[in-house]
Amino acid sequence: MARRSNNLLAGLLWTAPWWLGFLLLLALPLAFSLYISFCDYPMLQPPLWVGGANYAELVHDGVFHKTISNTAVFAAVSVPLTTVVAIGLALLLNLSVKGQAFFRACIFVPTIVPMVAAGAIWMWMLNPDFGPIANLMRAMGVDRPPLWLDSPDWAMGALVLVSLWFVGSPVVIYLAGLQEIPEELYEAARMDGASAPRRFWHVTLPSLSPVVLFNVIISVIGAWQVFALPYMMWRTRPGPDRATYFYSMYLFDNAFNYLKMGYASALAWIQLLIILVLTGLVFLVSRRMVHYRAA
Amino acid sequence: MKNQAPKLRGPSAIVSYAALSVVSLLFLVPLIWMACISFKPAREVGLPHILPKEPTLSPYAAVIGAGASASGVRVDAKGETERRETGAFNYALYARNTLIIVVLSLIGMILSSAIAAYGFARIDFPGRRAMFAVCLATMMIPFPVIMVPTYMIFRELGWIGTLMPLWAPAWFGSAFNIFLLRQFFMGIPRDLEESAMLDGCGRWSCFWRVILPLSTPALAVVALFHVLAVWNDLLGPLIYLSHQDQFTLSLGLQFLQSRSGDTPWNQLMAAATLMILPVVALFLIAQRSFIRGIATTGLKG
Amino acid sequence: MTVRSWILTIVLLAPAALLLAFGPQGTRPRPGGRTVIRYWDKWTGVEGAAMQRIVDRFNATVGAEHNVWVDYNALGDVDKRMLIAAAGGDPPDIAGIFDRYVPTYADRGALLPLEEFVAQAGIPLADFKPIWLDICRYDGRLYALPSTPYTIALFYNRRLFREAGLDPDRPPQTTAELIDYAVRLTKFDPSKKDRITQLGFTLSPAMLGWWHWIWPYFFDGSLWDGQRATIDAPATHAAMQWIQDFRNRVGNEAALRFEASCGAIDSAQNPFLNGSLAMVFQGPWLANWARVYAPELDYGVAAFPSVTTERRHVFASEDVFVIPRGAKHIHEAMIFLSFALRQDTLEELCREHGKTSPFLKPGPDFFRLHQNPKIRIFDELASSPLAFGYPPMPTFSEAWTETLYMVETVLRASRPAAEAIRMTQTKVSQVVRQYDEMSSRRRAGKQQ
Repeated sequence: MARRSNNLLAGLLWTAPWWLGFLLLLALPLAFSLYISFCDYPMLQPPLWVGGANYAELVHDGVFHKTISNTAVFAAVSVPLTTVVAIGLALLLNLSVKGQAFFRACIFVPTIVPMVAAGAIWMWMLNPDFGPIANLMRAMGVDRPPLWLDSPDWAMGALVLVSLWFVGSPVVIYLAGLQEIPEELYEAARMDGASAPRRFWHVTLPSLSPVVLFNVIISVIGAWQVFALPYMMWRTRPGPDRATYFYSMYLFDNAFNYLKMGYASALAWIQLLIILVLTGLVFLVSRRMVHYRAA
Repeated sequence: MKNQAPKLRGPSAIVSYAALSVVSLLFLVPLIWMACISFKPAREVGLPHILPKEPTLSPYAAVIGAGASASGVRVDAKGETERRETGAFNYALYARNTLIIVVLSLIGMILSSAIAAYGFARIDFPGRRAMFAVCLATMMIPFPVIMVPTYMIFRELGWIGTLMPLWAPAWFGSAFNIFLLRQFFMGIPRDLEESAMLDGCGRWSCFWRVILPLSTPALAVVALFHVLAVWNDLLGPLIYLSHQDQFTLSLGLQFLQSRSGDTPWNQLMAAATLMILPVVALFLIAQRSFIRGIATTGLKG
Repeated sequence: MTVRSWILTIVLLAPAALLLAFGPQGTRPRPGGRTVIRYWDKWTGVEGAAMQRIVDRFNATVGAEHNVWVDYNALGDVDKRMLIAAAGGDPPDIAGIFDRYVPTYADRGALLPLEEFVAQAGIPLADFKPIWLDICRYDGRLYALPSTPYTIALFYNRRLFREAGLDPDRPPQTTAELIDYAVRLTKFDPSKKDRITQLGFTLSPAMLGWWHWIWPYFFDGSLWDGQRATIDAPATHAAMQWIQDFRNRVGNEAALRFEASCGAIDSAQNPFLNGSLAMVFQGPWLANWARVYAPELDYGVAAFPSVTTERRHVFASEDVFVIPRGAKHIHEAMIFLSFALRQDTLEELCREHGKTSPFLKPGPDFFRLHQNPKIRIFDELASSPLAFGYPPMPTFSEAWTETLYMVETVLRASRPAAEAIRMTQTKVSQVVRQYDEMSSRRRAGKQQ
């Protein structure tokens, strides 16, 4: 008993950096934002309690519904796509060839390009008249390449495409995961005469599954918070027919353009709940699919 | 545990080179474009050709601007003022500000994350599991939720207008890094500490003399992730810094874009190129140990 | 680590260490003992330098007398910065914001009413053109002071007029004529009939920047009658019909394609400058870019046409100075503002910014020294009795977004115009109703 309470003190002491920061810089602001989500709060005047009015308004807010569905579509397309592309790239970059570091850098460097610059570059890349993508498509015989950023039908696709350019971080983590797989497993599989695709399916993927889980969760969170890239590429406009107007952008507009911090806080809490539920779902679904190697 | 696939030979090597080259080229084209714009004179910027017709270094000269303060005024001993364009990008000054934040926050981030992670990994105290779960859950909090209240807290502390809000919070560690390090510490056999304890070591010296030295790969990963995050952070500086003298690189870049009138895209791309070059160098040097470091932390959840 | 990577690490770390040790520090000149006035504005480059010169002159003369030092600080998104700082209780003493934010911020109590201070400082308001002060007022009170004003006019390319057989001295007189001209000024690729190589006029919000909401005003309409949104009015229908007519006559898909590939109008890559856009709705600064990037361009400037020639509507807008509520040095801020608002000083600033003068009688040198040869036209437009500014709506940001959606819907023909107008009216009315409800609850709360 004494030992246990002794441990409590030690545990609290050791973890103090975290929980002090949590209380001061997360719990306190979170509590405040929960409070103002039940208020009218134009930032320049004190909060005024309005009960559940902000949450009730969400039900009728067409733009809120549009941004929810846009964000859901973006997440549903970009998360699996990013996962597949990232694993593919990681396999490729794990090949032991000369210049490996260079190839790895090529994939990784885009993730550190400042968003302001990246947004502008992709606006040029996707220009329907002289952009390289349009030129390539014309060379391949497409007479009228899509308008990309200015077309309600293509804007989302363009964004998903561009977001793949930032795939470097998960690739690096998958690369690390690949290093962890013991060579003996591959040798055993080879002895059994398994072909390369079968080795990938029965050795690589199961061993990699914890890393996949980690990356999927991170990218689900990231997809639901997507902001900077569309914000830069459509320059404060909500995109053609609001096709690329996402949840976080609407939240930002409510907070800083419409001065409705109370409503923005309600939006933020809904976002937090959505992310929590989705993460929980991913964990549940993954329970059968993720293989932890016995320690 | 050495785990490099065997060196490729023959046709399979050719196929993999081809695949790698195509993929790398796809990722490189926008970067090449960025670099090309940074060498274009202003009147060529919006034109469709990629290669500058009259390449110039003047965008770089404009953004490097060593020697003048960001507000554009420098007063010398006799009180004479020397002026440069207000709002111009000042690479040396912004890089220095960014470095100050990087260094001050890095020390705190590593120490605090490691200490807290050790607590979560090794001390079996009541409520540990719940506390750790909360810690993980905080990774999901969207920043806008807490932005304004956080600002108010920093104002109460008198930190607005200083660099403090950008580095001091790092001294509380971060959930992601604590998670990463905890996973790593869990993988270190307990016998090492137990024998140290038998020798009369306390917990702290165990941590300091046994655990930390064994954890350099993981600590290096945390450091690198942190440097990358701080180097590119825009939202924090955007909210807390209101004077050009304090701007970081990413905020200076955003300012170039948002200034009224037309954006000097060639200068912006020059600044962006200069901003990513050190990080590219860092990656090229460290990528192998970086990736191996992540592997050892075991992001296995 | 190998020797190579050690060397590389040192190569990387050494400059960082040197920079930290000996790098430039952001030191602001700040003579001791003086009260520091924090002045935030958006201007950089040439525009910022012009303001900095005035600030320097103030600091050396009047400021020294009164023991005040103005610290000019240029920032991006200065309006949002001011807002966050004010919400956090630490606003600047003076901020230079866009006029469109004045009603929004004033109605929420973020701005200080200035009449009293202006009277104390002896700023002669009677010397200003009425429109420029009207824009600074909200709900009968003065919340801002003019800094650099402008009107928006029609720029047209005289060479392209001649090529199309139009009289370069007779710009379009009505909105209908504008469209006729624009169709005649639109050219197609001879090999591909659906590819536009030269467009007569553009209505694309992506290219125009801030003014997509404006068209109903040229049809005698408005967005706001002071209390209610008036989007669902005949004028808006006429304006949207006008947009559709033009697009149908040049081909909607072709126009979209042309506009998507153009540079933004508020940039040096403006298609008007390279002659691929014949007419454009724009402010006086376009003349500055023309001088720098297209010195050969032969263009004319005229009032933008309205639906009839009897009533000429003119859009007028300006940058303004405000004092945020919570500013710590109001008295000292006013000392600087009355210096900056002296006619010679303010006109110097306006001239350097390529804008018009806010004064009833511009000084003798104003037009002579101005670099824009057409500046008189912009100045005369501001005297028009039908000059109008941004709608004085506390919920203008929402109205701005919703009308943007409306115009884009019409441009893309993704919905019938009438439906788009009705949806927009409904949404904006709802926003206004909610806002009014909250305001009255606040007032009720205060009275208790």
